[in-house]
Amino acid sequence: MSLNAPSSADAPSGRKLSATVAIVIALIAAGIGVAGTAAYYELRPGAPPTAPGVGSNRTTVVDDLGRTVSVPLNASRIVVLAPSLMDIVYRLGLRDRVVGVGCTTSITGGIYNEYSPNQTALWGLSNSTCVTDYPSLNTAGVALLLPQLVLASTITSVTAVATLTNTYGIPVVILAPATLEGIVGDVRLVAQMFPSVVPTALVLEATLETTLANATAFDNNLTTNGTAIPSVLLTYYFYTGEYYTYGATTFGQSLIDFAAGASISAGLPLEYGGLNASAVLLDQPSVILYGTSWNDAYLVSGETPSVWASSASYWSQLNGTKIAVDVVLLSEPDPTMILALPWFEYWLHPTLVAEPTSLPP
Amino acid sequence: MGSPSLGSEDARAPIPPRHRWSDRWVALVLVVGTVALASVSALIGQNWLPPVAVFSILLHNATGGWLGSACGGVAPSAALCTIWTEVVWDARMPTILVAVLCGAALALSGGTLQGTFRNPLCDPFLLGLSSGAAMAVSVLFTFEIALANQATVLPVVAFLGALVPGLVVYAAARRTVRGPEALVLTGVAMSALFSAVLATFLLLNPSGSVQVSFWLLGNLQGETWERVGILAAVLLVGGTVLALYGRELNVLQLGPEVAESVGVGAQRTTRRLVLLSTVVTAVAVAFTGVIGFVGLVSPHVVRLMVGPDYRRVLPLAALFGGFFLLVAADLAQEIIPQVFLPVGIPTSFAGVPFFLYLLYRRRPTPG
Amino acid sequence: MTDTTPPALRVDDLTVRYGERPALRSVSLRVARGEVVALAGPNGSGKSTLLRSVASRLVATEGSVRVAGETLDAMGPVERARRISWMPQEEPPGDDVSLRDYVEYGRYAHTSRWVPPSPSDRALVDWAVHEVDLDGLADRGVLELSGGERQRARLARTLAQDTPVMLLDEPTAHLDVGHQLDILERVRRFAVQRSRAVLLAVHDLNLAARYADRVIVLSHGRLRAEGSPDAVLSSELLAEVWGILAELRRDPVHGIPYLIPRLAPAESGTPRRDGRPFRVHVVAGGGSGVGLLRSIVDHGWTPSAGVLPLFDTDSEAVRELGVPAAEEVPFAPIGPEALRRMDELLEGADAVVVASFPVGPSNLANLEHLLPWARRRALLLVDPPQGAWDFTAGRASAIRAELLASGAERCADVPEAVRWLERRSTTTGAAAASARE
Repeated sequence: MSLNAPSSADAPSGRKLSATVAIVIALIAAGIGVAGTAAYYELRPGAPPTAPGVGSNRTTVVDDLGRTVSVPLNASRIVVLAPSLMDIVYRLGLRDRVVGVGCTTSITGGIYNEYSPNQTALWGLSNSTCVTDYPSLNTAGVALLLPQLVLASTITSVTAVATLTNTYGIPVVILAPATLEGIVGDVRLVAQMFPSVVPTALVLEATLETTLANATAFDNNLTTNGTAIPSVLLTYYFYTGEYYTYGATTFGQSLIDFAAGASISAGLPLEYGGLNASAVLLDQPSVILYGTSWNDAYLVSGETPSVWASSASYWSQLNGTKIAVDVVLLSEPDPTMILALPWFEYWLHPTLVAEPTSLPP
Repeated sequence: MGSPSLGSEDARAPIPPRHRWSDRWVALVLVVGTVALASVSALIGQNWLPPVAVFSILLHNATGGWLGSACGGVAPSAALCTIWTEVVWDARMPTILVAVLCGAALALSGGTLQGTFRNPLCDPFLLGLSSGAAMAVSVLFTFEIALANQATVLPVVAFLGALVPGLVVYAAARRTVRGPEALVLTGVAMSALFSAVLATFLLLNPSGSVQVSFWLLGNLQGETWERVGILAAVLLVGGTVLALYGRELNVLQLGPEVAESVGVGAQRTTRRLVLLSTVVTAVAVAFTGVIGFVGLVSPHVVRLMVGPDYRRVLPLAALFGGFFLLVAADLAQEIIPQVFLPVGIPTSFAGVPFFLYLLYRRRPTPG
Repeated sequence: MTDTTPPALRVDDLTVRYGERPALRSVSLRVARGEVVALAGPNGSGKSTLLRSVASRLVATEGSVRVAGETLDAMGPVERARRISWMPQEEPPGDDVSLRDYVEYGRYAHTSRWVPPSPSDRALVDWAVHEVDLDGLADRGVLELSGGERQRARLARTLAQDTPVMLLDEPTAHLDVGHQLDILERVRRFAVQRSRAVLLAVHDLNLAARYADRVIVLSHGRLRAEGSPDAVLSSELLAEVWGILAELRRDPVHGIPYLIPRLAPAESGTPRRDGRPFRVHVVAGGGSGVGLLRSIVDHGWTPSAGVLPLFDTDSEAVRELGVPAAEEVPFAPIGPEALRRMDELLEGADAVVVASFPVGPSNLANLEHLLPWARRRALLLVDPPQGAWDFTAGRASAIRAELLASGAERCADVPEAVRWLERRSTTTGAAAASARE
């Protein structure tokens, strides 16, 4: 038996690095390299980048979220990320400056998911003008269109806005009207950025304000007469157990107010949310305005749309007048909604108001 | 040498020595593969860019302007070239690097926890970290707090939320002499608690639940060089320290008493590893949400290749995790055109078949 | 001649509690360098607890442990690991690392994470693997090893740790006899030639006596005895602490004590259906009856024997088993007293078995005396031994033939005889009574 057990008191000889240590050192080196590069690029002169092709004329505006944004005047290339904003842009005669609009991904329908046939025809849109904005915005795609300005709504995620602003240097103005008056304010805001269309804007503003004033007068009249104001449920998605509707501080509420109605969801704390089925059945609103898909044939027949077949029993227990409305009118806070006020007044007060002669554009 | 041969080798013949791949080669392949994939990944995204331009941009910017030209000469205008550069270098590259760093972090953390708790089913979120972070994030979305500063606030909130359950387990580890089972169960309890709170919040605001769900599946969008820098600094320091605990983890597999007798302070080491792993995971979660499967699978894949020695498993798992998550990120952008899926979806799709293949291709190790 | 160097290992008043129950009560011991001390005691006496609590601080203890004069409490785990190594009785299986890597774990306290093990570390590991005779398996995974090999690997790890004090818990469990002796031999030489202190817990007292300088006996957590194997091991101690009956002999070659357990005395047999025990009388001699007697006792029957010469092997067995027997002075012909005693025993027997032994003039009377009993009792003759067995000029063979003619049965060997007895033992009391006149 060999007892020449090597003594562990011998000094270790030969300092060869093991593979482990080598790998670890490589990781550290890589990390330092990455962090260093990151720092270098953050400190790179000229950051944050500015969008190319910008004229020297700029102005500063405050958008609906309180953000102060520096924008070029009369930008020649703009991207519009919501149909409601497209409405304003079109009415102001800025359509030919629009180089892209936001759509859902083309696999699930593309432009035809977010814009009605009327809208696509009217505004001359097609899939080729699309930039994917759902489930998340294709910011690079926006940037590649070389826009000088992006008009967005609150649907666009905060991350996407930050990327557009910080990475690509494109100014983003967020329009999010909470009331119908807010819509008029947005028209003014856009005019502020495009002085060349101010005359058109003034006309539009005047028309809108007149409509609003008329509606207000009508409402005051009713109050003076002591006429009953109908309770209204405005829903764009009828779902078993919950009726998705507009909360207290939304344009949906504002719409009902101007149409001289009383929304039963006025107390809802959040912007969009559900009322309990039982709560609605208890309240039994006298008028139910429900938005239908523009492709739905039931719009014509007046029956319950098939997509709500599972809610049929709830639907049948509602005793109020059920009026199908093009969902575009209910869900987009834009000038078209204001111009459709006479229709809303008619639907809420059929005995007091004559049916308007023309359908809103 | 008086004793006759005691015949210890007699019945051993049929089993050949196991195949082990050399760890140096595996490391080299993974590093080279990751670099190559990272370059190719710059081509992947929601918008098509000419490959010549993409590679020129990579080369030009990676070498600080020394090599290559701005856009390889194929950009129609200077303005477009600027945008192309921003897309490739300022948007895609950070996403790629975050994917690699987070994959490495999660793999390291998962491997460490598997060793610390002597349980092959451990993943980085074992101690309730994902539930804690998700709950904290859901508070943000439910009560719509700090919406404007979300980009800055969200990571901080997620990090703190992830830390809480981890710290509870760490505190428990300080006070108890019990084995790892007690710690794991503490983590499970934390997870259940925070999940319940999360569910309550989601009921209050269903629209917030969509955003939280998105985040819960792992989100690699909107990465910037700034975030890369923070991630790299924190993860590489913490991750490197973790990777150096291979020897201790090896010995810990024999139980705390044997570990103590050999010189590894079992309790102290367990506490340190839990703490480090928690911090590393929390940082990863803070920036990218909850990406499952990477931390669980990477150490196992590496073990199948180079054996169970943690001195090799941990660093190689980090390399593999980075590569794996990058593959998943690429898939996340390509599966549905124009859509950047949450990364957690392709990690499962990509991970499971590969793992099964590797598992059933090798001979089963004797029990 | 006072030796002022502190002992390699010194344990003072070590008390260990599991909850409220004390597993060790105030145990003190010393182990000097170059000394091998065996820790003995029955299960639950605290051997493993003692070793475990000295080795790792995970067990709550009172009392102190010192290595070469330094208290272990103040040290960190690495420092402790350089002074004391511990081979546990069992441990979790762990991962399937190679045997060499597993043994290298023992070098943890001597290596650092930044630098791989030095050549001298590796040489020590190789040496340890060689010491436990596992050279060829060094590259195999530890999970592929058998229980005994795993145990030797564990010992190798402990050896590789190369500490002045080694604590071994049952190092020879699961090992075959060859490895048991080999391992202990090496451990002892290692301890002596390298001046290590070894404290090892063993179950096998013979091994303890053979390889240890001192033996410490624990009982119920207390130190019961301490000293050289000679001084400590005694029949009384074995009976008191382990509850066994054993005889202590001394190995004539080495002078080392070893114990021989006694056979347990026969207890009352299982009664037959009629309530009486089945009694078998065995005629034997020269060791031919031991197997039979043991089988009879195992079956729970009641044996008797005779006539046996005193100091004959069968006579010794009879004494140990507490079997009633007729005996005669050795080398003398069987006298009338012995025969009368044999008659008494035959009278009370249910069956008689004659074992296979050579017959000479001195024990011929055993056979002759059976002739009148052949028709009165169930009689079985086991075939005589191969070769020459009849040293009575044919008289024994004739008697044998006559016995067979008178109704005795024959069988080839002891197992057949036992089967014959089993058959007879199930006969009912009435039939048995009628078999008797």
